[in-house]
Amino acid sequence: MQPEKKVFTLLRSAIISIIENKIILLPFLTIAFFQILAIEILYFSPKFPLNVFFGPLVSKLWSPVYMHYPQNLVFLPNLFQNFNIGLYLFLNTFLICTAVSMIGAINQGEKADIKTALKNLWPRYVHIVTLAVIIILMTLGLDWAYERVFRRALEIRSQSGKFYMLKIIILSSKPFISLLISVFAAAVLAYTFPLITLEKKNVFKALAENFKVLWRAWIFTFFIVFWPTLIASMFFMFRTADLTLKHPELSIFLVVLGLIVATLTDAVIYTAITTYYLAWKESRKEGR
Amino acid sequence: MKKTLLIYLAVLAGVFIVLNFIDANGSYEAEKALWKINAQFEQYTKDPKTIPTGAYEGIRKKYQRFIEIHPKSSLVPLADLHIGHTYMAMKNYDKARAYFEDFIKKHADNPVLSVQAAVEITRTYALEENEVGVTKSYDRIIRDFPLTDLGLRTPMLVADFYKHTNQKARQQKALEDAKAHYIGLTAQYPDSPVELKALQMLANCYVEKGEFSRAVDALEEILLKFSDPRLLTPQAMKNLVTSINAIVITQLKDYDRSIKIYSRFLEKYPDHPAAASFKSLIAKFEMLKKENVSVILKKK
Repeated sequence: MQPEKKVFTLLRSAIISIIENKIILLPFLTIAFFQILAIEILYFSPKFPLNVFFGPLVSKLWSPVYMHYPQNLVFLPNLFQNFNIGLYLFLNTFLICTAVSMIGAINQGEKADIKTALKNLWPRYVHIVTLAVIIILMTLGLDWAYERVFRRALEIRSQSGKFYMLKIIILSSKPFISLLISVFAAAVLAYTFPLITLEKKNVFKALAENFKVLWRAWIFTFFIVFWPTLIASMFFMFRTADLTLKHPELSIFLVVLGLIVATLTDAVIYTAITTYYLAWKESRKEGR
Repeated sequence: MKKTLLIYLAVLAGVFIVLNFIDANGSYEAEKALWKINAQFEQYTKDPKTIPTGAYEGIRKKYQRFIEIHPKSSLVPLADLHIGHTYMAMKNYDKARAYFEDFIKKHADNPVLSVQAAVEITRTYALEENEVGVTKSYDRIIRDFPLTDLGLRTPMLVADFYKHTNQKARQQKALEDAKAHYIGLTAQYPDSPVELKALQMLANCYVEKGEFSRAVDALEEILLKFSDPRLLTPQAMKNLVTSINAIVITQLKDYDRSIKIYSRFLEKYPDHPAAASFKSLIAKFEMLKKENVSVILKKK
Protein backbone atom coordinates (compact mmCIF):
# COMPACT_ATOMS: atom_id res chain seq x y z
CA MET A 1 0.00 0.00 0.00
CA GLN A 2 1.27 3.48 -0.93
CA PRO A 3 1.78 5.97 1.96
CA GLU A 4 -0.74 8.80 2.32
CA LYS A 5 -0.12 11.70 -0.07
CA LYS A 6 -1.61 14.68 1.75
CA VAL A 7 0.68 17.66 1.29
CA PHE A 8 -0.44 19.81 4.21
CA THR A 9 -0.74 16.86 6.62
CA LEU A 10 2.85 15.86 5.85
CA LEU A 11 4.11 19.47 6.10
CA ARG A 12 2.32 19.84 9.46
CA SER A 13 3.79 16.63 10.82
CA ALA A 14 7.25 17.78 9.61
CA ILE A 15 6.84 21.06 11.53
CA ILE A 16 5.73 19.16 14.66
CA SER A 17 8.69 16.82 14.26
CA ILE A 18 11.09 19.79 14.08
CA ILE A 19 9.51 21.44 17.14
CA GLU A 20 9.83 18.19 19.10
CA ASN A 21 13.38 17.53 17.84
CA LYS A 22 14.98 20.96 17.49
CA ILE A 23 18.34 19.35 16.85
CA ILE A 24 17.16 18.78 13.22
CA LEU A 25 17.52 22.54 12.74
CA LEU A 26 21.20 22.58 13.64
CA PRO A 27 22.60 21.61 10.19
CA PHE A 28 20.25 24.13 8.53
CA LEU A 29 21.20 26.86 10.99
CA THR A 30 24.84 26.06 10.25
CA ILE A 31 24.10 26.66 6.55
CA ALA A 32 22.44 29.97 7.48
CA PHE A 33 25.45 30.87 9.65
CA PHE A 34 27.88 30.44 6.74
CA GLN A 35 25.55 32.27 4.34
CA ILE A 36 25.15 35.25 6.69
CA LEU A 37 28.91 35.24 7.33
CA ALA A 38 29.43 35.38 3.54
CA ILE A 39 26.96 38.30 3.28
CA GLU A 40 28.77 40.07 6.14
CA ILE A 41 32.11 39.70 4.36
CA LEU A 42 30.64 40.86 1.04
CA TYR A 43 28.93 43.78 2.81
CA PHE A 44 32.30 45.02 4.04
CA SER A 45 34.16 44.04 0.85
CA PRO A 46 34.66 47.67 -0.40
CA LYS A 47 36.37 48.52 2.93
CA PHE A 48 39.98 47.94 3.94
CA PRO A 49 41.34 45.24 4.35
CA LEU A 50 38.80 43.19 2.33
CA ASN A 51 38.98 45.59 -0.64
CA VAL A 52 42.58 44.47 -1.23
CA PHE A 53 41.17 41.12 -2.38
CA PHE A 54 37.69 42.06 -3.61
CA GLY A 55 38.60 45.32 -5.35
CA PRO A 56 40.54 43.78 -8.27
CA LEU A 57 38.24 40.73 -8.39
CA VAL A 58 34.93 42.64 -8.63
CA SER A 59 36.43 45.30 -10.92
CA LYS A 60 37.77 42.71 -13.33
CA LEU A 61 34.79 40.32 -13.35
CA TRP A 62 31.99 42.91 -13.19
CA SER A 63 32.62 46.63 -12.76
CA PRO A 64 34.59 48.92 -10.41
CA VAL A 65 31.28 50.72 -9.77
CA TYR A 66 30.25 47.81 -7.53
CA MET A 67 33.03 48.68 -5.09
CA HIS A 68 31.28 51.96 -4.23
CA TYR A 69 28.33 52.83 -2.01
CA PRO A 70 25.39 52.21 -2.64
CA GLN A 71 25.95 50.23 -5.87
CA ASN A 72 27.84 47.61 -3.87
CA LEU A 73 24.67 46.90 -1.90
CA VAL A 74 22.53 46.79 -5.06
CA PHE A 75 24.98 44.25 -6.47
CA LEU A 76 25.51 42.32 -3.22
CA PRO A 77 22.73 39.71 -3.78
CA ASN A 78 24.16 38.85 -7.24
CA LEU A 79 27.65 38.55 -5.80
CA PHE A 80 26.28 36.43 -2.97
CA GLN A 81 24.57 34.09 -5.46
CA ASN A 82 28.00 33.35 -6.95
CA PHE A 83 29.46 32.64 -3.52
CA ASN A 84 26.42 30.60 -2.59
CA ILE A 85 27.06 28.24 -5.52
CA GLY A 86 30.43 27.41 -3.92
CA LEU A 87 28.81 27.04 -0.50
CA TYR A 88 26.07 24.81 -1.94
CA LEU A 89 28.60 22.57 -3.67
CA PHE A 90 30.92 21.95 -0.77
CA LEU A 91 28.91 22.64 2.37
CA ASN A 92 25.15 23.10 2.10
CA THR A 93 24.38 19.77 0.38
CA PHE A 94 26.57 17.91 2.87
CA LEU A 95 24.76 19.58 5.78
CA ILE A 96 21.34 18.83 4.24
CA CYS A 97 22.39 15.16 4.08
CA THR A 98 23.49 15.42 7.72
CA ALA A 99 20.01 16.64 8.61
CA VAL A 100 18.44 13.80 6.58
CA SER A 101 20.62 11.32 8.47
CA MET A 102 19.45 12.81 11.79
CA ILE A 103 15.78 12.69 10.71
CA GLY A 104 16.30 9.01 9.74
CA ALA A 105 17.75 8.28 13.19
CA ILE A 106 14.83 10.05 14.92
CA ASN A 107 12.33 8.06 12.83
CA GLN A 108 13.99 4.85 13.96
CA GLY A 109 13.72 5.95 17.59
CA GLU A 110 17.47 6.59 17.91
CA LYS A 111 19.14 9.65 19.38
CA ALA A 112 19.99 12.22 16.71
CA ASP A 113 23.52 13.54 17.08
CA ILE A 114 25.16 15.88 14.58
CA LYS A 115 28.71 14.68 15.30
CA THR A 116 27.78 11.01 14.66
CA ALA A 117 25.86 12.00 11.52
CA LEU A 118 28.81 14.00 10.17
CA LYS A 119 31.23 11.16 10.95
CA ASN A 120 29.01 8.57 9.22
CA LEU A 121 28.48 10.78 6.18
CA TRP A 122 32.07 11.81 5.60
CA PRO A 123 32.86 8.75 3.40
CA ARG A 124 29.85 9.73 1.20
CA TYR A 125 31.21 13.27 0.62
CA VAL A 126 32.21 12.68 -3.04
CA HIS A 127 28.71 11.36 -3.88
CA ILE A 128 27.08 14.31 -2.13
CA VAL A 129 29.24 16.86 -3.98
CA THR A 130 28.48 15.07 -7.28
CA LEU A 131 24.77 15.34 -6.49
CA ALA A 132 25.24 19.07 -5.76
CA VAL A 133 26.99 19.50 -9.11
CA ILE A 134 24.09 17.77 -10.91
CA ILE A 135 21.49 19.95 -9.13
CA ILE A 136 23.41 23.15 -9.91
CA LEU A 137 23.93 22.20 -13.56
CA MET A 138 20.24 21.38 -13.90
CA THR A 139 19.17 24.69 -12.30
CA LEU A 140 21.63 26.71 -14.41
CA GLY A 141 20.51 24.80 -17.53
CA LEU A 142 16.83 25.56 -16.84
CA ASP A 143 17.67 29.22 -16.10
CA TRP A 144 19.63 29.42 -19.35
CA ALA A 145 16.75 27.89 -21.32
CA TYR A 146 14.25 30.30 -19.74
CA GLU A 147 16.57 33.24 -20.45
CA ARG A 148 16.57 32.23 -24.14
CA VAL A 149 12.77 32.09 -24.15
CA PHE A 150 12.63 35.46 -22.35
CA ARG A 151 14.96 37.11 -24.87
CA ARG A 152 12.99 35.64 -27.76
CA ALA A 153 9.79 37.02 -26.22
CA LEU A 154 11.39 40.49 -26.06
CA GLU A 155 11.84 40.34 -29.82
CA ILE A 156 8.12 39.74 -30.49
CA ARG A 157 6.85 42.87 -32.22
CA SER A 158 3.11 42.09 -32.31
CA GLN A 159 0.91 44.65 -30.59
CA SER A 160 -2.09 42.31 -30.36
CA GLY A 161 -3.12 38.69 -30.93
CA LYS A 162 -1.78 35.39 -29.62
CA PHE A 163 1.94 36.23 -30.00
CA TYR A 164 1.43 39.47 -28.09
CA MET A 165 -0.38 37.55 -25.34
CA LEU A 166 2.48 35.05 -25.24
CA LYS A 167 5.00 37.89 -24.93
CA ILE A 168 3.08 39.48 -22.05
CA ILE A 169 2.74 36.14 -20.23
CA ILE A 170 6.45 35.33 -20.57
CA LEU A 171 7.66 38.80 -19.59
CA SER A 172 5.33 39.38 -16.67
CA SER A 173 5.70 35.93 -15.12
CA LYS A 174 9.51 36.04 -14.79
CA PRO A 175 9.66 35.98 -10.93
CA PHE A 176 7.09 33.17 -10.77
CA ILE A 177 8.86 31.10 -13.46
CA SER A 178 12.20 31.57 -11.65
CA LEU A 179 10.49 30.27 -8.52
CA LEU A 180 9.05 27.29 -10.43
CA ILE A 181 12.47 26.47 -11.87
CA SER A 182 14.09 26.35 -8.43
CA VAL A 183 11.17 24.31 -7.04
CA PHE A 184 11.33 21.90 -9.99
CA ALA A 185 15.11 21.44 -9.63
CA ALA A 186 14.74 20.75 -5.90
CA ALA A 187 11.71 18.45 -6.29
CA VAL A 188 12.91 16.34 -9.19
CA LEU A 189 15.97 15.12 -7.25
CA ALA A 190 14.51 15.38 -3.73
CA TYR A 191 14.72 11.66 -2.85
CA THR A 192 18.37 11.32 -3.85
CA PHE A 193 19.27 12.93 -0.50
CA PRO A 194 17.74 10.16 1.67
CA LEU A 195 18.88 7.51 -0.83
CA ILE A 196 22.54 8.59 -0.65
CA THR A 197 22.40 9.26 3.09
CA LEU A 198 20.23 6.49 4.51
CA GLU A 199 20.65 3.73 1.92
CA LYS A 200 24.33 4.56 1.26
CA LYS A 201 23.76 4.27 -2.48
CA ASN A 202 26.18 5.79 -4.93
CA VAL A 203 24.96 8.95 -6.64
CA PHE A 204 23.92 7.31 -9.94
CA LYS A 205 22.03 4.44 -8.31
CA ALA A 206 20.41 6.99 -6.01
CA LEU A 207 19.29 9.02 -9.04
CA ALA A 208 17.71 5.96 -10.66
CA GLU A 209 15.97 4.96 -7.43
CA ASN A 210 14.87 8.60 -6.89
CA PHE A 211 12.80 8.50 -10.07
CA LYS A 212 11.11 5.28 -8.89
CA VAL A 213 9.87 7.09 -5.77
CA LEU A 214 9.04 10.20 -7.78
CA TRP A 215 7.15 8.23 -10.42
CA ARG A 216 4.00 7.80 -8.34
CA ALA A 217 4.32 10.99 -6.29
CA TRP A 218 5.70 13.73 -8.51
CA ILE A 219 2.86 16.24 -8.10
CA PHE A 220 2.80 15.56 -4.37
CA THR A 221 6.59 16.03 -4.14
CA PHE A 222 6.40 19.20 -6.23
CA PHE A 223 3.92 20.76 -3.81
CA ILE A 224 5.88 19.59 -0.75
CA VAL A 225 8.70 21.77 -2.06
CA PHE A 226 6.51 24.49 -3.60
CA TRP A 227 4.49 25.76 -0.61
CA PRO A 228 7.36 26.35 1.83
CA THR A 229 9.53 27.83 -0.98
CA LEU A 230 6.72 30.23 -1.88
CA ILE A 231 6.65 31.54 1.71
CA ALA A 232 10.44 32.05 1.72
CA SER A 233 10.47 33.76 -1.67
CA MET A 234 7.96 36.38 -0.45
CA PHE A 235 10.72 37.91 1.70
CA PHE A 236 12.88 38.34 -1.38
CA MET A 237 9.97 39.87 -3.30
CA PHE A 238 9.75 42.76 -0.78
CA ARG A 239 13.26 43.73 -1.88
CA THR A 240 12.48 45.94 -4.87
CA ALA A 241 15.01 48.03 -6.82
CA ASP A 242 13.32 51.19 -5.53
CA LEU A 243 13.65 50.09 -1.91
CA THR A 244 17.30 49.15 -2.46
CA LEU A 245 18.11 52.59 -3.85
CA LYS A 246 16.24 54.43 -1.10
CA HIS A 247 17.30 52.28 1.87
CA PRO A 248 20.31 50.14 0.82
CA GLU A 249 20.94 48.70 4.29
CA LEU A 250 17.29 47.75 4.79
CA SER A 251 17.31 45.77 1.55
CA ILE A 252 20.33 43.76 2.80
CA PHE A 253 18.53 43.16 6.09
CA LEU A 254 15.62 41.73 4.05
CA VAL A 255 18.04 39.40 2.23
CA VAL A 256 19.36 38.12 5.58
CA LEU A 257 15.82 37.72 6.90
CA GLY A 258 14.88 35.86 3.71
CA LEU A 259 17.85 33.52 4.19
CA ILE A 260 16.77 32.70 7.74
CA VAL A 261 13.20 31.98 6.58
CA ALA A 262 14.57 29.90 3.66
CA THR A 263 16.63 27.91 6.19
CA LEU A 264 13.53 27.13 8.23
CA THR A 265 11.48 26.21 5.16
CA ASP A 266 14.31 23.98 3.89
CA ALA A 267 14.24 22.21 7.25
CA VAL A 268 10.49 21.59 6.81
CA ILE A 269 10.91 20.44 3.17
CA TYR A 270 13.69 17.92 3.85
CA THR A 271 12.01 16.63 7.03
CA ALA A 272 8.82 16.06 5.00
CA ILE A 273 10.70 14.47 2.08
CA THR A 274 12.66 12.13 4.36
CA THR A 275 9.54 11.22 6.33
CA TYR A 276 7.68 10.41 3.11
CA TYR A 277 10.64 8.43 1.76
CA LEU A 278 10.81 6.34 4.95
CA ALA A 279 7.05 5.69 4.79
CA TRP A 280 7.37 4.74 1.10
CA LYS A 281 10.21 2.33 1.96
CA GLU A 282 8.14 0.81 4.78
CA SER A 283 5.15 0.37 2.45
CA ARG A 284 7.36 -1.45 -0.07
CA LYS A 285 8.58 -3.80 2.65
CA GLU A 286 4.98 -4.51 3.69
CA GLY A 287 4.04 -5.04 0.04
CA ARG A 288 6.64 -7.79 -0.25
CA MET B 1 22.61 23.17 20.33
CA LYS B 2 22.15 26.40 22.33
CA LYS B 3 25.91 26.60 22.85
CA THR B 4 26.56 26.18 19.11
CA LEU B 5 24.01 28.87 18.24
CA LEU B 6 25.58 31.25 20.77
CA ILE B 7 28.97 30.62 19.17
CA TYR B 8 27.51 31.35 15.70
CA LEU B 9 25.93 34.59 16.95
CA ALA B 10 29.13 35.63 18.71
CA VAL B 11 31.19 34.99 15.54
CA LEU B 12 28.75 36.97 13.37
CA ALA B 13 28.63 39.86 15.85
CA GLY B 14 32.41 39.80 16.32
CA VAL B 15 33.13 39.86 12.58
CA PHE B 16 30.62 42.68 12.12
CA ILE B 17 32.10 44.79 14.92
CA VAL B 18 35.71 44.24 13.84
CA LEU B 19 35.07 44.99 10.14
CA ASN B 20 32.94 47.98 11.07
CA PHE B 21 35.65 49.57 13.19
CA ILE B 22 38.61 48.87 10.92
CA ASP B 23 39.06 51.79 8.54
CA ALA B 24 36.16 53.61 10.23
CA ASN B 25 37.00 56.93 8.52
CA GLY B 26 38.12 55.42 5.23
CA SER B 27 36.98 56.26 1.72
CA TYR B 28 34.02 53.84 1.82
CA GLU B 29 32.65 55.39 5.00
CA ALA B 30 33.07 58.81 3.39
CA GLU B 31 31.14 57.67 0.30
CA LYS B 32 28.38 56.33 2.52
CA ALA B 33 28.16 59.48 4.63
CA LEU B 34 28.08 61.78 1.59
CA TRP B 35 25.47 59.62 -0.18
CA LYS B 36 23.21 59.89 2.85
CA ILE B 37 23.49 63.68 3.01
CA ASN B 38 22.92 63.89 -0.77
CA ALA B 39 19.86 61.61 -0.51
CA GLN B 40 18.35 63.85 2.17
CA PHE B 41 19.13 66.98 0.15
CA GLU B 42 17.56 65.44 -2.95
CA GLN B 43 14.47 64.52 -0.95
CA TYR B 44 14.11 68.14 0.20
CA THR B 45 14.59 69.60 -3.28
CA LYS B 46 11.94 67.25 -4.70
CA ASP B 47 9.25 68.79 -2.55
CA PRO B 48 10.53 72.15 -1.26
CA LYS B 49 7.11 73.27 0.00
CA THR B 50 6.88 70.61 2.71
CA ILE B 51 10.36 70.89 4.18
CA PRO B 52 10.83 72.32 7.68
CA THR B 53 12.41 75.76 8.10
CA GLY B 54 16.15 75.68 8.32
CA ALA B 55 16.34 72.30 6.55
CA TYR B 56 18.76 73.50 3.88
CA GLU B 57 20.87 75.20 6.52
CA GLY B 58 20.97 71.85 8.34
CA ILE B 59 22.10 70.13 5.13
CA ARG B 60 24.79 72.78 4.63
CA LYS B 61 26.09 72.15 8.14
CA LYS B 62 26.15 68.41 7.42
CA TYR B 63 28.31 68.96 4.33
CA GLN B 64 30.57 71.22 6.39
CA ARG B 65 30.85 68.53 9.08
CA PHE B 66 31.57 65.93 6.40
CA ILE B 67 34.54 68.01 5.20
CA GLU B 68 35.79 68.30 8.79
CA ILE B 69 35.51 64.55 9.47
CA HIS B 70 36.95 63.40 6.13
CA PRO B 71 39.45 66.13 5.23
CA LYS B 72 41.59 63.81 3.10
CA SER B 73 38.72 62.24 1.16
CA SER B 74 38.62 62.70 -2.61
CA LEU B 75 34.92 63.55 -2.13
CA VAL B 76 35.66 66.80 -0.27
CA PRO B 77 35.43 68.98 -3.45
CA LEU B 78 32.06 67.40 -4.21
CA ALA B 79 30.76 68.17 -0.71
CA ASP B 80 32.19 71.67 -1.12
CA LEU B 81 30.23 72.11 -4.38
CA HIS B 82 27.07 70.89 -2.65
CA ILE B 83 27.44 73.62 -0.03
CA GLY B 84 27.04 76.05 -2.93
CA HIS B 85 23.98 74.09 -4.03
CA THR B 86 22.40 74.54 -0.57
CA TYR B 87 22.67 78.34 -1.01
CA MET B 88 21.01 77.93 -4.40
CA ALA B 89 18.22 75.90 -2.79
CA MET B 90 17.78 78.70 -0.23
CA LYS B 91 17.50 81.08 -3.25
CA ASN B 92 20.47 83.01 -1.89
CA TYR B 93 22.03 83.33 -5.35
CA ASP B 94 24.55 86.05 -4.51
CA LYS B 95 25.99 83.97 -1.71
CA ALA B 96 25.97 80.88 -3.95
CA ARG B 97 27.91 82.73 -6.64
CA ALA B 98 30.42 84.04 -4.10
CA TYR B 99 30.85 80.52 -2.78
CA PHE B 100 31.39 79.07 -6.27
CA GLU B 101 33.87 81.86 -7.08
CA ASP B 102 35.84 80.88 -3.97
CA PHE B 103 35.65 77.28 -5.09
CA ILE B 104 37.10 78.18 -8.50
CA LYS B 105 39.99 80.00 -6.81
CA LYS B 106 40.57 77.10 -4.41
CA HIS B 107 40.71 74.56 -7.28
CA ALA B 108 42.38 76.76 -9.86
CA ASP B 109 44.87 73.99 -10.62
CA ASN B 110 42.02 71.56 -11.48
CA PRO B 111 39.94 72.88 -14.41
CA VAL B 112 37.71 69.77 -14.46
CA LEU B 113 36.55 70.63 -10.93
CA SER B 114 36.43 74.40 -11.22
CA VAL B 115 34.45 74.35 -14.48
CA GLN B 116 31.63 72.66 -12.55
CA ALA B 117 31.44 75.64 -10.21
CA ALA B 118 31.47 77.97 -13.24
CA VAL B 119 28.51 76.02 -14.68
CA GLU B 120 26.69 76.38 -11.36
CA ILE B 121 27.24 80.14 -11.49
CA THR B 122 25.54 80.10 -14.91
CA ARG B 123 22.66 78.16 -13.39
CA THR B 124 22.20 80.77 -10.65
CA TYR B 125 21.80 83.46 -13.35
CA ALA B 126 19.41 81.23 -15.28
CA LEU B 127 17.32 80.73 -12.14
CA GLU B 128 17.18 84.51 -11.71
CA GLU B 129 16.29 84.79 -15.44
CA ASN B 130 19.27 87.09 -15.83
CA GLU B 131 20.11 86.70 -19.52
CA VAL B 132 23.15 88.97 -19.44
CA GLY B 133 24.55 87.01 -16.52
CA VAL B 134 23.97 83.69 -18.30
CA THR B 135 25.71 84.76 -21.52
CA LYS B 136 28.61 86.38 -19.67
CA SER B 137 29.00 83.27 -17.60
CA TYR B 138 28.94 81.04 -20.68
CA ASP B 139 31.54 83.26 -22.34
CA ARG B 140 33.74 82.90 -19.29
CA ILE B 141 33.49 79.06 -19.43
CA ILE B 142 34.45 79.08 -23.12
CA ARG B 143 37.36 81.43 -22.40
CA ASP B 144 38.70 79.94 -19.14
CA PHE B 145 37.91 76.23 -19.51
CA PRO B 146 37.86 75.57 -23.26
CA LEU B 147 39.32 72.05 -23.16
CA THR B 148 37.17 70.52 -20.41
CA ASP B 149 34.13 68.46 -21.42
CA LEU B 150 31.79 71.12 -20.06
CA GLY B 151 33.83 73.85 -21.72
CA LEU B 152 33.62 72.06 -25.04
CA ARG B 153 29.86 71.71 -24.76
CA THR B 154 29.22 75.29 -23.72
CA PRO B 155 29.09 76.94 -27.20
CA MET B 156 26.25 74.56 -28.04
CA LEU B 157 24.62 75.25 -24.68
CA VAL B 158 24.57 78.95 -25.55
CA ALA B 159 22.73 78.13 -28.79
CA ASP B 160 20.35 75.88 -26.83
CA PHE B 161 19.70 78.69 -24.36
CA TYR B 162 18.60 81.01 -27.20
CA LYS B 163 16.55 78.23 -28.77
CA HIS B 164 14.62 77.67 -25.54
CA THR B 165 14.11 81.40 -25.04
CA ASN B 166 12.76 81.67 -28.62
CA GLN B 167 15.49 83.99 -29.90
CA LYS B 168 16.02 82.52 -33.35
CA ALA B 169 18.44 85.10 -34.73
CA ARG B 170 20.62 84.88 -31.65
CA GLN B 171 20.46 81.10 -31.82
CA GLN B 172 21.76 81.16 -35.41
CA LYS B 173 24.52 83.58 -34.41
CA ALA B 174 25.47 81.33 -31.49
CA LEU B 175 25.57 78.32 -33.82
CA GLU B 176 27.87 80.21 -36.21
CA ASP B 177 30.12 81.15 -33.26
CA ALA B 178 30.10 77.55 -32.07
CA LYS B 179 31.03 76.31 -35.54
CA ALA B 180 33.97 78.74 -35.74
CA HIS B 181 35.02 77.79 -32.21
CA TYR B 182 35.06 74.04 -32.95
CA ILE B 183 36.80 74.46 -36.32
CA GLY B 184 39.41 76.57 -34.51
CA LEU B 185 39.94 73.85 -31.90
CA THR B 186 40.37 71.11 -34.55
CA ALA B 187 43.09 73.21 -36.20
CA GLN B 188 44.72 74.06 -32.88
CA TYR B 189 44.78 70.51 -31.45
CA PRO B 190 45.11 68.12 -34.40
CA ASP B 191 45.11 64.34 -33.80
CA SER B 192 44.23 64.76 -30.12
CA PRO B 193 41.21 63.84 -27.96
CA VAL B 194 40.31 67.55 -28.09
CA GLU B 195 40.01 67.33 -31.89
CA LEU B 196 37.85 64.22 -31.53
CA LYS B 197 35.45 65.96 -29.09
CA ALA B 198 35.46 69.17 -31.15
CA LEU B 199 34.51 67.20 -34.29
CA GLN B 200 31.66 65.53 -32.41
CA MET B 201 30.37 68.91 -31.28
CA LEU B 202 30.85 70.31 -34.79
CA ALA B 203 28.68 67.51 -36.18
CA ASN B 204 25.97 68.37 -33.61
CA CYS B 205 26.28 71.99 -34.61
CA TYR B 206 25.74 71.16 -38.31
CA VAL B 207 22.74 68.98 -37.47
CA GLU B 208 21.24 71.86 -35.50
CA LYS B 209 21.83 74.17 -38.46
CA GLY B 210 20.29 71.63 -40.84
CA GLU B 211 23.56 71.16 -42.75
CA PHE B 212 23.35 67.38 -42.77
CA SER B 213 25.95 66.68 -45.44
CA ARG B 214 28.56 68.65 -43.48
CA ALA B 215 27.53 66.81 -40.31
CA VAL B 216 28.25 63.49 -42.06
CA ASP B 217 31.60 64.90 -43.21
CA ALA B 218 32.55 65.64 -39.60
CA LEU B 219 31.43 62.20 -38.45
CA GLU B 220 33.35 60.56 -41.31
CA GLU B 221 36.46 62.46 -40.27
CA ILE B 222 36.13 61.07 -36.74
CA LEU B 223 35.68 57.54 -38.05
CA LEU B 224 38.68 57.68 -40.35
CA LYS B 225 40.97 59.59 -38.03
CA PHE B 226 40.19 58.11 -34.60
CA SER B 227 39.69 54.38 -35.17
CA ASP B 228 41.97 53.47 -32.23
CA PRO B 229 39.67 51.82 -29.63
CA ARG B 230 41.51 53.72 -26.87
CA LEU B 231 40.16 56.97 -28.33
CA LEU B 232 36.94 55.75 -29.92
CA THR B 233 35.57 52.95 -27.72
CA PRO B 234 33.46 50.22 -29.40
CA GLN B 235 30.32 51.77 -27.89
CA ALA B 236 31.32 55.27 -29.12
CA MET B 237 32.00 53.83 -32.58
CA LYS B 238 28.58 52.14 -32.55
CA ASN B 239 26.93 55.46 -31.64
CA LEU B 240 28.88 57.24 -34.37
CA VAL B 241 27.81 54.70 -37.02
CA THR B 242 24.20 54.95 -35.81
CA SER B 243 24.36 58.74 -36.22
CA ILE B 244 25.81 58.47 -39.74
CA ASN B 245 23.17 55.92 -40.75
CA ALA B 246 20.34 57.93 -39.26
CA ILE B 247 21.35 61.11 -41.11
CA VAL B 248 22.03 59.27 -44.38
CA ILE B 249 18.74 57.35 -44.32
CA THR B 250 16.37 59.99 -42.96
CA GLN B 251 17.85 63.23 -44.26
CA LEU B 252 20.21 62.69 -47.20
CA LYS B 253 18.58 59.51 -48.60
CA ASP B 254 21.91 58.85 -50.29
CA TYR B 255 22.93 55.26 -49.50
CA ASP B 256 26.08 55.57 -51.63
CA ARG B 257 27.36 58.05 -49.08
CA SER B 258 27.39 55.41 -46.30
CA ILE B 259 28.82 52.79 -48.66
CA LYS B 260 31.67 55.15 -49.58
CA ILE B 261 32.43 56.05 -45.93
CA TYR B 262 32.54 52.42 -44.78
CA SER B 263 34.52 51.33 -47.87
CA ARG B 264 37.11 54.02 -47.15
CA PHE B 265 37.30 52.82 -43.57
CA LEU B 266 37.88 49.21 -44.70
CA GLU B 267 40.50 50.35 -47.18
CA LYS B 268 42.37 52.26 -44.44
CA TYR B 269 41.91 49.69 -41.63
CA PRO B 270 41.36 46.24 -43.24
CA ASP B 271 42.25 44.41 -39.98
CA HIS B 272 40.16 46.56 -37.62
CA PRO B 273 38.05 44.49 -35.14
CA ALA B 274 34.91 46.19 -36.51
CA ALA B 275 35.77 45.38 -40.16
CA ALA B 276 33.25 42.51 -40.37
CA SER B 277 30.37 44.68 -39.14
CA PHE B 278 31.27 47.41 -41.65
CA LYS B 279 31.24 44.81 -44.47
CA SER B 280 27.79 43.68 -43.35
CA LEU B 281 26.63 47.33 -43.17
CA ILE B 282 27.81 47.92 -46.76
CA ALA B 283 25.87 44.80 -47.87
CA LYS B 284 22.76 46.11 -46.12
CA PHE B 285 23.05 49.53 -47.78
CA GLU B 286 23.56 47.81 -51.18
CA MET B 287 20.33 45.90 -50.54
CA LEU B 288 18.51 49.10 -49.52
CA LYS B 289 19.73 50.72 -52.72
CA LYS B 290 18.39 47.83 -54.85
CA GLU B 291 15.03 47.86 -53.05
CA ASN B 292 14.81 51.61 -53.56
CA VAL B 293 15.55 51.28 -57.27
CA SER B 294 12.90 48.58 -57.71
CA VAL B 295 10.32 50.72 -55.86
CA ILE B 296 11.08 53.65 -58.18
CA LEU B 297 10.83 51.41 -61.27
CA LYS B 298 7.51 49.98 -60.06
CA LYS B 299 6.14 53.48 -59.55
CA LYS B 300 7.18 54.37 -63.11
